[in-house]
Amino acid sequence: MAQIREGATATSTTATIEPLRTRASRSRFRKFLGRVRYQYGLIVGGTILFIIVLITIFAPLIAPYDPIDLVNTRRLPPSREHIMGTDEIGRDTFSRVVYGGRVSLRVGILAVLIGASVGTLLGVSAGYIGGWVDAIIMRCTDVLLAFPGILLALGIVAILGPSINNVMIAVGIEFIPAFVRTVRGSTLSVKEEDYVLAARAVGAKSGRIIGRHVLPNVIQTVIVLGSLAVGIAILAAAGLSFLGLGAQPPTPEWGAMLSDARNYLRESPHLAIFPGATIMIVVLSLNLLGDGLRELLDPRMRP
Amino acid sequence: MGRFILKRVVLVIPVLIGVTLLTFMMVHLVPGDPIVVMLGDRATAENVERLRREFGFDRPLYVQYLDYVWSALQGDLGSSIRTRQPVLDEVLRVFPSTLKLTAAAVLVATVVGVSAGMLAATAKHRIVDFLTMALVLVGISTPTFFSSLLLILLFSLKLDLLPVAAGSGIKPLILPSVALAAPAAAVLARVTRSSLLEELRKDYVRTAYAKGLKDRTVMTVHVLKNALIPVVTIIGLQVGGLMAGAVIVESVFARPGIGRFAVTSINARDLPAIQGIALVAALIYVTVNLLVDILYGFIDPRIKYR
Amino acid sequence: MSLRDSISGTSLRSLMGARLTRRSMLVRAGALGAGMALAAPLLAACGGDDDDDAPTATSAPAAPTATTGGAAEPTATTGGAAEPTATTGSVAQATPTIAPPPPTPTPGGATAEVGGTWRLVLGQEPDTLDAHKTGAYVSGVVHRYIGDTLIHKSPQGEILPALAESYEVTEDGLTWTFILKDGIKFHDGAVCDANAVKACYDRALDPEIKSAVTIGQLGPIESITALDDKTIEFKHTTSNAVFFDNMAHPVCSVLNAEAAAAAGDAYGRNPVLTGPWKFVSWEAGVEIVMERNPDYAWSPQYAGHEGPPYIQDLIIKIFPETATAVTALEAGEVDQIEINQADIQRIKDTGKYETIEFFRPGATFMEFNVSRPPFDDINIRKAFNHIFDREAILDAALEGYGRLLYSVLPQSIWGWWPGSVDYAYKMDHDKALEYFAASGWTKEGDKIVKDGQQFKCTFTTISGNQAQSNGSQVIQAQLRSFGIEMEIKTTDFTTVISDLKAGNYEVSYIGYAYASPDIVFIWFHSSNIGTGLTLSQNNSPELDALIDESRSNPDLDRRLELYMEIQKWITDNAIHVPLYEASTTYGLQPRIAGHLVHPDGHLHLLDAYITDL
Repeated sequence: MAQIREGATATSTTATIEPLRTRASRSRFRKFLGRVRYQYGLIVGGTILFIIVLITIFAPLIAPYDPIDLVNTRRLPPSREHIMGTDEIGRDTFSRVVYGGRVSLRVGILAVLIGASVGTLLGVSAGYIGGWVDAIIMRCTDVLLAFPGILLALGIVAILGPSINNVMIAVGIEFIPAFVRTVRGSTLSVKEEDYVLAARAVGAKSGRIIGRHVLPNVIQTVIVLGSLAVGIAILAAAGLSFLGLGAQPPTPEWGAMLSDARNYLRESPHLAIFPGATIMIVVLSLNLLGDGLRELLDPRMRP
Repeated sequence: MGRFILKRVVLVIPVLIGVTLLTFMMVHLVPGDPIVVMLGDRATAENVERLRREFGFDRPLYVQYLDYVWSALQGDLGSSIRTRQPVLDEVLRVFPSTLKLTAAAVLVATVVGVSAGMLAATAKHRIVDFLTMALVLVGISTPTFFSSLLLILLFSLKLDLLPVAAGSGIKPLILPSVALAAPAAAVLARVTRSSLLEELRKDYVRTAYAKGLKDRTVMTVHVLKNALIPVVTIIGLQVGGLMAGAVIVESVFARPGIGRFAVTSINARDLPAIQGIALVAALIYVTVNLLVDILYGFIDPRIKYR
Repeated sequence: MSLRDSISGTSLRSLMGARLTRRSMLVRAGALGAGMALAAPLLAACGGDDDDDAPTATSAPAAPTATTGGAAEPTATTGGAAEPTATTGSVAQATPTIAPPPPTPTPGGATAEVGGTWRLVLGQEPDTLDAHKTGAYVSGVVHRYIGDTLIHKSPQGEILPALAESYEVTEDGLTWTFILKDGIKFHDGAVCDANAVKACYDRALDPEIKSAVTIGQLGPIESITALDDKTIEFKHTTSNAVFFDNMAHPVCSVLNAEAAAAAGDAYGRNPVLTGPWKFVSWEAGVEIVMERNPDYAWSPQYAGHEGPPYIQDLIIKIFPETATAVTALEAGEVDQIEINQADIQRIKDTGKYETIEFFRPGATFMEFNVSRPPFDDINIRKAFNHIFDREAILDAALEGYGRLLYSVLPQSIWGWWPGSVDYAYKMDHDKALEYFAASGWTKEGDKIVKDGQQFKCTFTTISGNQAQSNGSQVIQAQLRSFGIEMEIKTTDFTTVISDLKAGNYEVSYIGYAYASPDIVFIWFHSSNIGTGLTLSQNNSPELDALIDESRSNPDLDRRLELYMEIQKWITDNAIHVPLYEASTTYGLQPRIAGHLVHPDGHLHLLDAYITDL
C-alpha cells in the first residue's frame, strides 16, 4: 500500500496540470478526438475498465452462483463447473470475484468523490480567497500529509471502527490533501488570467467568477487526478480489508478474499491468485486510463 | 546555508503542532466515552471516574493538550491498555525491525528503480523502454499483499529458496523488502526516466555533444547529476510510503514491527498505543522530509534562493 | 499461630472481597469425607488441571486434526511402536480421559546427552510472563518450562508432588500443608523456602497486583503461613474440592516475589522462577529464549530422571500465521509446530516428521445470551438447536479435524456424559419450525417472519481465526437457507470477551480450553455473571446448586452423577448449540526422543533429548 500517497504525490509533483484556457470549440473537440487515437494506453485501459464495469453491473447475470451460498465441496481446484474453483468453505470463487467488483468499485469511486469534492472546495477557497484562509487550509493539509500513506486511513478506521464504509470515509479523507494542493495550484493560475482579472475589474461577483471561470478549468485537473486516485483507493480499501479492518464476512471483497486465502496458499493457490490478479488488472487499467487522460489534457506532459 | 536550514526547521513547527493536536484529539473523536471504550469489561462507574481523573479528562481540553505535549516531549506517550507497558517502550521495542525492513526496501527500490529508469531513458530500442514502462505500470498496480503472497508462493513454497518467517540475518529480509520495495521502485523508475529525458533535451547537453564529448561521459558527468535531483526528493517521499506499506508486509510475513503493532492495537481498541504510534510515525516522516529538503539544498544550491 | 492466622485471615478476607462471599456458598457441612487427600490425586488423574482460565478461541491458530471415528486417545505416528495406552488403574472411573502415549522409543538407540537446541512454535505471543497477571494459555506453556508448581500433573495425568516433597490435608478439607524439598533455588540464586513461597502467593492475593487468574485458583483462602523453612500451610474458609487441581495450574508457579517487587512492571518480561530452564531473553514478536538450569535438582516425582533436563537451549518462536509455521518446519527453521489443518495430510505423507494427534481438552459452541431478545426465549433456542447440519460446520471450520460436541463437556474431559450423544438435539427442520411457531414465528415463502419482520440476529465472532471465519460463514449460510438472516460481527479476542462478559451480544462463537470439569462453574455459575465467564448470563439457582455440590462433594461417583445432571440441565434449557471439539496435530522434527504430550496440551520435555548431537 506504499503507493497510495506516492501515487498521488508523484502525480502532483510530476504533473501539475495547466488548465486549458478556453472551452473546447467544435474544431478543438475534433482535434481532441484525433489525439485520442494515439493514446493506446487510454484506449486499452478504458476498454478493460468498461468491460469490468459492465461485468459488475450485470453481476447477477454473469455470476453462475450466488456469491455467498455454499454450492459445492470446499477448496475445489478450477474446473468447468467452477472456473476459478471453490473457496475454503465451498463458495464459487468466480461468482465472488464478480460480485467483489461491486464492493471495490463502489468504495473506490465514493472515496474519491469524498476526497475530490472536499478537496476541490478547500482548494478553490485557498487559491481564490488567499490570505489567512489559504494559510490555514494549507497548514492543515500539511498536517494530514505528515501521516504517511495508509497510516492516516488506519488511524481514522481506528477512531471509527472497522467496516467497509468507514474504510471508504478514511480513504476519502486521505485523498483530501492531494486534491487541495492540485486544485489550489490551478485556481491560482486561473486567477491571474487576463479575462478573470477583467471580470473582477468590471465587478463580477466572486461566485460567478468561480462558477464560470475557475471551476471549469479546475475540473480537468480533478478528473485526471481522480481517475488515478480511484485505483489507489481500491488498493487502499482492499489493503485495509486484507488486514481485517474493512469488509466483513460473508461480503465478497477482493482484499478479504486474499486474506482468507493465506492459510491455503500451498494447497489452493487459486484462492489467492484470482482475486489478486483481478485487483491488479482493475488498478492497472485505471492507471492506464489516468495516465492517458493526463497526457491528453496536458500535452506538455508527454515525455 | 545556515539560514536556509533554519528556515526549513521553523516551517516544520506548525506541522508538528498540528500533528500533536490531531493525535491528541484522536481519543476524543472516538464515538462513545473513551474511558469506557478503553476499559471494556472493567468499566465500572468507580473505575471510569478514577481513570477519568487519572487521564485528566475532567480538566479543560487545552490544559489536557498542553499536558499531553509536555509529557510527549519528555518521552511519555502513556501506557498501552493491552500490554500495560509504556507505549514508547513498546514502539522502540519493535521499531528496529521496521527500520531494518524499510531501509532494505529503500535500498532495493533505489537500485532497481533508478537503474530501470536509466535503462528506459537511454534504451536504443523503443521496445526496451516500452517493456520497462509496462513493468513499472504493473509494479504500481499490484497490491503489496498480493505480490507478497506471490513471492512466498514462488520462492518459499515452490522453489524452497527463501524463508518466510522473521529471523536473524539477511535471508528472511529479502522477500518482505522486495515486496515492499516494488511499488516504490516503479515510481522511482518513472521519475528517473522522465527526469533524464527532460535533462537530455536541454541545451547544454547538445553543446556537450557538439564539443565532441563521448556519450558515456556526457551522461554520467552532467546529465545524471542534474537528473537525479528530483529523484532524491521522491526517495524521501517514498520513505513514508514504505513505512506505511510495512503495515501490510509485516502482517503477511508475520514480522514484528510498528505496522503489526498498529494493527494489533486497533483490533484491541488500544487508544493510547494507536495515539503513540501515529505520533511517532508522523514525527519520523516529517523529519525524513526535512532532511530531504535540506539535502536538496546542498545538491542544488539554486534552491536556497527560492 | 492462631492469633497470627486470625489477623492475616481477617485482612485477607477483606482483601478477597466479593470472591469470598461467593465461594462461601460452597460450604457443605460434614460432606468432606476422610478420603480427601486420596481423592484429590484421583480427580487430578481424571484431567484436573486447566490450561487457560480465559475462554480461548479453540483451535484458533492451533490446528487440530482428523479422527472422525471419535476415539479419544492421542496417537503418536512415526514413533512406530507407540500405541496409546489405556487409562491407568488409578483412574479407572475416568472414562474418556486423555491417555498420554508412553515415551517415544529411542531411535537408533541414541542415549540421552546434554546439549542441543529445540525450537518450538507458539501461535500467540504471551501477554506477560508474570504468572500472577496472565491467564493466557501460551504464558502457561512457557511457565511449564521455566517454572514449577508445588504439585504437578504428570504426563500420565496424575497430580504428584513437585516443589513439594509431600503434602497433607486435614479431615475437614480446610487446611492444606505442603513440605518443600531441600535446596530449591530461584534462577537468580535466591533460596526458595517456605517464606518465599508464602511471599509468592501473598503477592497473588495482593489487590494491587490485580491477579488475573491466580487469585481465583487459590480459592477462599483464609491464611497462608510458613510454619518453618520447609512447611507452608494454606487455610481455607470453606472446603474446596478443586484446590488441588488448581494448585498444579501454571499460573500458580512459584515465582520470586522479591525479584518481582524489585522489577516492578518490567517483571513480566524478566520472570524469575525455579524451573528446569531459565528465562534468557524475549524479543517481542520473534522469540523467547530459555537455557538449561544446571542447578535443577528438584525435578518432580514423575520425571524419568533426576537433575537438570538434557536439552540445552529451548527457544519459543512466535508465529501468528499457522501457514508460516508449516513452511518453517519444512525449511528446518523450527522443530515443533501445531500443523495447520490444510497441511496435515501433506506433512504426514512426506514421512519426514513425527506427528502426534490429540485432543486438547476443550469445546466450542454457539453460546446464546439468554438475558435478552431474541434468545431469552427458550423456544427460539431449541429451534436453533434443530436447524444446523453440525457435520458441515465441523467440516468447514476444522477441515474435519475434530469431532462433534454433544454437551458442555467434551469427551476429553472427565465428567463427560456418554448419554449426551443420544440426548443432544438433532437436525430436524420440522421441529425447528414447530418451536418457532410456538413463539409466533412462521415460515412465509423462504423467510421466518413475525408481524411481517424477518427473524434477524447478530453473531459475535473473533477475528484472525480461520476456523471461526469458516465456521461462522457456514452457520450463516445454513441459517439463510432456513430463512433467518444472521449478521457476523468480528472483533478481536479481548473486545469480544469484554462484550460477552457484559452481556452485550445476542449469540456468539466461543469456546474454552480447560482440562477440568470445573469449567461448568467458570462457565455457568451465576456468580460468574459479569466479571467471570458466565457469558450466557444464565442465572438459575437450580443449576447453581448442582454446580456448588459438584465442587465440594468429595465423592467421585456423586460428582460424576452431578456433572451428568448439569449437562442434561444445560441441554434441556438449550443454553447453547454445541459445535465441536477440535483436535491438535503436532509436527516434530524426528531428532528428539523421550518427549510426551502432556494432558494439558504442551509437549513434556523434561526427559527429552536431542538425538543428533
